Amino acid sequence: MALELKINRRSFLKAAGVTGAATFGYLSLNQPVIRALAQGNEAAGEEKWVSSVCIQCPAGCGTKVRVVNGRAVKIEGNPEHPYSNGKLCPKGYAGLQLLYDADRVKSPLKRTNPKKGQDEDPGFMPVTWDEALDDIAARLKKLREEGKSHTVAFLSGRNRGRAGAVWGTFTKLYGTPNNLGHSSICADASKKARMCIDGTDDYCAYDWENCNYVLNFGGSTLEAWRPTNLMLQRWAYMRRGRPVRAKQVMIDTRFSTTAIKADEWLPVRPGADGALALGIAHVILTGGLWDRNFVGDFKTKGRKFVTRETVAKEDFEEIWTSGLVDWWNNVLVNFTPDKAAEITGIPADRITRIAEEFATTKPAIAAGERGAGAHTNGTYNHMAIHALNALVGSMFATGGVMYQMGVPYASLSLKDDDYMDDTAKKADKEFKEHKLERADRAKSDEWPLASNVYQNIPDNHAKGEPYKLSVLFTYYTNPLFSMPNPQRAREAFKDVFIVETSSYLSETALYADYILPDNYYLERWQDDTVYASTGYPVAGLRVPAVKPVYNSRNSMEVIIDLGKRMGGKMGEYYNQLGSFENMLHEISKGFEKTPGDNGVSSFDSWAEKGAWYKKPYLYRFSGGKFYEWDGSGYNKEMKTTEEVKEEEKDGKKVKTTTIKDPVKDKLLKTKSGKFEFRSSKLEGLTDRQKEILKSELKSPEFFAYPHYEEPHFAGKEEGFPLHMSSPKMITHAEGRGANTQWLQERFGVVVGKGWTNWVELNPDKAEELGIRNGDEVWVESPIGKVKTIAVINPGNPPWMVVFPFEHGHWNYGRYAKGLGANPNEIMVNLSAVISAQSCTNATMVKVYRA
Amino acid sequence: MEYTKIEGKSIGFYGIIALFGILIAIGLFEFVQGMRFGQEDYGTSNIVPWGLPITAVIFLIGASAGALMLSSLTYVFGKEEYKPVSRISIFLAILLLIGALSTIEGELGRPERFMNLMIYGPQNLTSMFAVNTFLYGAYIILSIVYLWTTFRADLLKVTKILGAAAAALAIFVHAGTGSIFGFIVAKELWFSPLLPVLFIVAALTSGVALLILILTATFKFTGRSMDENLVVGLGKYLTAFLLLQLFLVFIENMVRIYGGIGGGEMTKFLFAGPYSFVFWGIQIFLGTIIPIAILFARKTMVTVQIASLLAVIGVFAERFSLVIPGQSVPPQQVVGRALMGFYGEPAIYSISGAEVAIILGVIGAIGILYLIGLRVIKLLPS
Amino acid sequence: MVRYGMVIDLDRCVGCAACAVACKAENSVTGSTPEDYKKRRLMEWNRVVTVFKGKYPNVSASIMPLICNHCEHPPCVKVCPVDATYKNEDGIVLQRYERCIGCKYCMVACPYQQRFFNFYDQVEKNKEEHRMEAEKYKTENGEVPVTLLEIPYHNPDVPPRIAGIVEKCTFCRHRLDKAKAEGKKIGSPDGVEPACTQACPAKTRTFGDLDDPDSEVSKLLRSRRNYQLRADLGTEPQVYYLD
Ligand SMILES: Nc1nc2c(c(=O)[nH]1)N[C@H]1C(S)=C(S)[C@@H](COP(=O)(O)OP(=O)(O)OC[C@H]3O[C@@H](n4cnc5c(=O)[nH]c(N)nc54)[C@H](O)[C@@H]3O)O[C@H]1N2
Ligand SMILES: Nc1nc2c(c(=O)[nH]1)N[C@H]1C(S)=C(S)[C@@H](COP(=O)(O)OP(=O)(O)OC[C@H]3O[C@@H](n4cnc5c(=O)[nH]c(N)nc54)[C@H](O)[C@@H]3O)O[C@H]1N2
Ligand code: SF4
Ligand code: SF4
Ligand code: SF4
Ligand code: SF4
Ligand code: SF4
Ligand SMILES: [Mo]
Repeated sequence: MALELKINRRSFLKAAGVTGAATFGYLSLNQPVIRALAQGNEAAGEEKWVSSVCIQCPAGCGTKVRVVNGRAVKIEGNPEHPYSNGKLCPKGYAGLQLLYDADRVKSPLKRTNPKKGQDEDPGFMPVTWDEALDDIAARLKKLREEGKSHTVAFLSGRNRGRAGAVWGTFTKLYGTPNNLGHSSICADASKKARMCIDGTDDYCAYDWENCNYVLNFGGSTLEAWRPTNLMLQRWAYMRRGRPVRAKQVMIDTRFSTTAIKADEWLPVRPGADGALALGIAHVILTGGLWDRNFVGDFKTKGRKFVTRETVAKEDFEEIWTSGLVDWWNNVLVNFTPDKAAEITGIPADRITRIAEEFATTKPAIAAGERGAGAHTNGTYNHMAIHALNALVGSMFATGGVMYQMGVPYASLSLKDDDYMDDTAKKADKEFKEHKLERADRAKSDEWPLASNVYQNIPDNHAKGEPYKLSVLFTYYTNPLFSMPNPQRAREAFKDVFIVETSSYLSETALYADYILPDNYYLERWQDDTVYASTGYPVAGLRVPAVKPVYNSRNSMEVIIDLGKRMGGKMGEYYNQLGSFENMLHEISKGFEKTPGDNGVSSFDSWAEKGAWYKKPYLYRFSGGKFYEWDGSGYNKEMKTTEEVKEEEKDGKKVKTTTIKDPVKDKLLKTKSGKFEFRSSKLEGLTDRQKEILKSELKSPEFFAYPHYEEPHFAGKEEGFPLHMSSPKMITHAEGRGANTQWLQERFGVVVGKGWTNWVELNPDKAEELGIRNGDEVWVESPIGKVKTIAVINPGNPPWMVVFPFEHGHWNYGRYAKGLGANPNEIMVNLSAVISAQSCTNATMVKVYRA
Repeated sequence: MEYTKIEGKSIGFYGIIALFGILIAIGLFEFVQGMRFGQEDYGTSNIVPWGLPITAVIFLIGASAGALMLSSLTYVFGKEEYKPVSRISIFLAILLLIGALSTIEGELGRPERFMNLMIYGPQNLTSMFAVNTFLYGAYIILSIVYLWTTFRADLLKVTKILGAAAAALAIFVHAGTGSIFGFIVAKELWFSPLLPVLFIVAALTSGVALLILILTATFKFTGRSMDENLVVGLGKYLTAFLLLQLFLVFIENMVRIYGGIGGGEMTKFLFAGPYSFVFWGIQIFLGTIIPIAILFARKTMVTVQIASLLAVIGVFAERFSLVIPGQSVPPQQVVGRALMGFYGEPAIYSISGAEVAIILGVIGAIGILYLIGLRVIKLLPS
Repeated sequence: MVRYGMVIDLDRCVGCAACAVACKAENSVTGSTPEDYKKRRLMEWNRVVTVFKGKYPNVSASIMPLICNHCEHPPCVKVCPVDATYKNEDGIVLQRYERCIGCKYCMVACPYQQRFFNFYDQVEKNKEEHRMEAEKYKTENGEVPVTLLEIPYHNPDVPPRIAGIVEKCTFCRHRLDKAKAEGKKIGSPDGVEPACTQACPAKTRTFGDLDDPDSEVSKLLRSRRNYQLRADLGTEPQVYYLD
């Protein structure tokens, strides 16, 4: 016993870890030791809890990291962070295995084999940071001198907090329009749909706590969506945490976790969500169930819309919406539940009942994400879905939908505009004048409203349209893996000089000419403004919990360092800026003016608590009026005011009237300041733009309305019989995260399968195809086939093949490589009209035994 | 009746010793590997934690108990016609049990903690394993004393008492071994009051059959002539035991089919799963029906030998069908609702080289001890 | 007397498996490899499974987290030949790792498949795997990145388990001991909880003293219909489920 008690924690760890636990375990695993350790009464090692923010998925949950003797040993939710509330999703807890992944990139690497390809050994050679950055800077300078600065592109995925601004500044000062993001392969359809009809190009925030009815069109509440962890918490709260149990209706093409747990699952036909939403809208209008405070009413009280009868515009007075009668007369008048039933496969009486429940069980929310969006008609689907929120008066109402408020960071005293040299100014000007296009052609007449068209970059580059890329920086994105048909990128990017910042040997890293390994999120300083959810603003902060395990550096610091090496005005800017950490200190000064609810008012308190947030959400629609928070309640009505100013100008008195419409400025940012069932944004495009967009529509006459566009499915004409959808599982974050044992071994929570992905088949369908559970199968689409394992899921509809995302890595470390198959490799590259949303759910396949 | 030692000087003798030596070396090698690196190479899993070695253990214990019970024919019931083989039966019983214990030792995750069984076993006598540890100990000691008394003509009475006690203990030991399984409520194929009885009958079957095989071989090898009547007589017992065994297996499975705890998934697995050929093909057909048929048709030296061989195989298959399919189907957590995926699908146990090596080592050890015994102790009739 | 137990509200559970991963991290439970998985050697003290009924379109499923039930009449304790597995006076079924001989009898005896065997020594195995890698990345002064020679994230509060012994859920005994030593309250909702309970985003799990009528667990059990897994086996699980 004496021997055992002498062992203190430090030597315990050492003995346990290094000298092999075999002998140790036998001698001294007696309970007293454990007790002594647990009580920490001996010379226990240094232990601390450091605030950080998880960044595996875009939720941005605040975390607390337990660090013992300089090692991170546990990650938990930060109770101070309103998105995590002390909880995390499974990925959050597994972060330790990412941090200490033995296959991380351990130092800057330089490629020695100029040939690129999937089977090509890059011949990476470790280099110093100076060598790498000097070389890259020289290359960038040369391109600038040759007038080719625009051929340098920066491709980023998970830009958190100020990261987007850091890349933006670099591209701006360098002189390229190519600050490109991945939002088009993500979820732009829902954002752009909202932009078209209510003027805000963003994800919604939702007042789940107070909502009583949820109509969810393909938002994977319990497995993905955003912010996953908070969604899980809210779900449980809505079910059991309060007196009234909210009803959850899940509209999904598969029997997902959410569908399992929901009150009702509507197994909609792929791409038919818009039709379902329109059918519901039809019932709401014909049933007289719309919200009269928000939408308005017929002049004749009690009048309702009648199926197949148009309405005269002047008969109806709208309040906060516009275009309802046009929408009715053009789109909805014939869109009966029967018609919706025909398209969606959901019986008409069920649609009617759901519509009635939705409109009468207030507050209600209609929402959704990539399920409805990742189809060629995705943007219109989401317009139709979002329109339902207006019809039942949920916009900005208690228990309804809203938009996330920004964080009041202090702006930097240093203005990047002041440091643009001629090259930079020229590029900026040419881009604004449409003389210079972006490499992805977003903002061109083809894609006037899209933010990014990520998935088309390889084709554009291959064709040299608008031009060939010379250098590609990749930050937190993996184009060679995660986009549809990534084989295109694998071919096209062979002649591009690639600088990759990943800390992991991703597929893209295999093509890199330089890898500049980023710190892992537990090793770096970074702010994190969350994605929409609570409405009120939240800003988290990552504080390095441990020293970098390998020779890696925060990419933000690296890009600033690179800027310094560029010399000229650009270099001057970065010398002034100093470092990313400086930047964080400076922006956090904003908190001095607006202290957070948890007392965060400085950089130090921010770092200590890990999160700044300020409740409440400032706006509220109630009883037909919009109100603003005045410090004690929603008391200040947001009224349109006219301000008349009289000024002396050139000796004359000039009267200027400014109309201030706070609702239009802050909430309904459309041209009309109303929720538009007929989109002025779309109608306001140039004729050429409209012509191009309409040419892609099957119903161009409804161009400006939320309507049902018949979706296009790749492979349908070629006779591929089954719809493939490629959803996310709770256990992975997009294309990253396959390198943790703890997540891999429970990858499929519902189907009980680990270490691979699979295709889910309906039992009868499988029997018809002669496929048994666990059989190896080929999944084939018009562009190829991949091999994986069949899972017979009794809940799967017969027409669906569910093929989860994440596997099929041909790199990415020992725990990811060579497992399962990548559904993207058989996914045809299709983009939704308007938003350029890449269509993850629009490929059709056949499945047969391998 | 006179007993003698064997010469044990022929090339053949040393050849066989060397052969057994190699087996021991293989077994020891795997044993040490297991000590050093764990049982990674085993075919076992967290769903089927007990593999082939445990099958061998209960087979060996059964054969041992059977052999011991047989010796009582002579020493307790006075059937002198079996005297030529009775003393060696006791010796074999001891060796087989030592073999069983070695197999357990080889199968333990931490074999160096074997002594914990003695130290802490008494603290938990609800453990059939702990109880059996002491039964085995007592059994070996008693058997040795019993064997010793057979050398002493003056202790005939004592031999008779000890013989009876040993036979009774043998029944206990093997019923106890059966209880290791029979008391496990978690396993549909195990949890049964009939199991200890079945174990005893199977013990007798395998004991007689193995004895017949080993003794006829030994007699032949040492140039002794075996009395055909003796063998045919043993064959009669074998027939009876086989019939009894078949009957017990039949009613036990009838109960299972009729409906027992846990929804019958495991029974279905036994009858129709990937191991069903072991049950139907080897255990029932090859190992029970055929030998019964043979024995009914004709009982000669050769037919009894063949039937014995098949019966031994049959009993081993019976042990296998109990141990492996008995664990393969993950338990139902909610009755009547099948789990999906990893914890729902049956686990397939595949026999691993490492486990086979352990068993080979044990066979080697038994073999060498047997040969040495023949040479130093007067075991065989002259 | 204290008698710890857990109540799992399946209506709250969202099947996220955060509990399962949190348990792994807290108790430093060995992660599997694809080979381990194929060989069915997953170590899941806490796992989330799905049971289905019917098939499309008339299909329903329920997702349930499973852990050791800390049975009142634990078969695993009954069968352990060396008294390594025992029922603590606070109701927790625990194990003396240093005494376990690795006979796996408890594994076959547990009707819930809640015990796991260490087929190899993870630390040793990792060392083997990483040794060559480590040579490559030594710094000038001979230092090797921590990840390469050991498992750096091992929780120092729990003992590492060596090859050849069995392990299972301890109700996070180290947390409870620590809380006791520090005089902290134990039990949901405001006291110290096991890692899985604390981790659960849906607050599905409630941990506490079943003998204390005022504890949250007792209240829940009184207020709603509850059941135990395989109550027919007479094991009397101390983990209760609510539908
Ligand atoms: N666990 C986890 N969470 C994440 C992420 C992650 O990688 N992992 N990523 C985050 C990111 S970047 C995003 S963009 C969000 C995306 O969040 P979601 O959009 O919620 O997730 P997805 O899995 O892409 O797709 C959602 C669902 O759409 C269904 N679906 C497919 N086709 C149709 C259809 O035609 N109609 C309907 N109604 N449904 C259909 C799929 O079956 C799937 O269940 O998740 C975020 N949260
Ligand atoms: N089949 C299918 N495909 C999909 C989806 C789907 O549901 N199904 N979802 C789509 C969606 S919603 C999205 S958002 C996209 C995401 O697709 P991408 O934007 O390509 O994101 P990931 O695939 O996650 O790749 C992220 C990269 O970041 C690197 N990385 C990881 N950590 C760090 C770090 O700390 N620093 C740096 N600099 N890099 C790091 C990783 O190595 C990895 O290469 O995928 C889309 N693709
Ligand atoms: S929801 Fe996303 S950010 Fe939050 S813990 Fe999970 S992976 Fe991390
Ligand atoms: S669930 Fe299994 S391991 Fe846990 S106490 Fe009960 S029998 Fe023992
Ligand atoms: S494996 Fe260990 S804990 Fe389990 S019964 Fe055997 S000795 Fe006891
Ligand atoms: S109580 Fe602790 S040990 Fe048990 S499952 Fe939960 S986290 Fe794991
Ligand atoms: S963490 Fe909670 S909600 Fe998630 S699976 Fe576990 S018990 Fe269920
Ligand atoms: Mo995304």
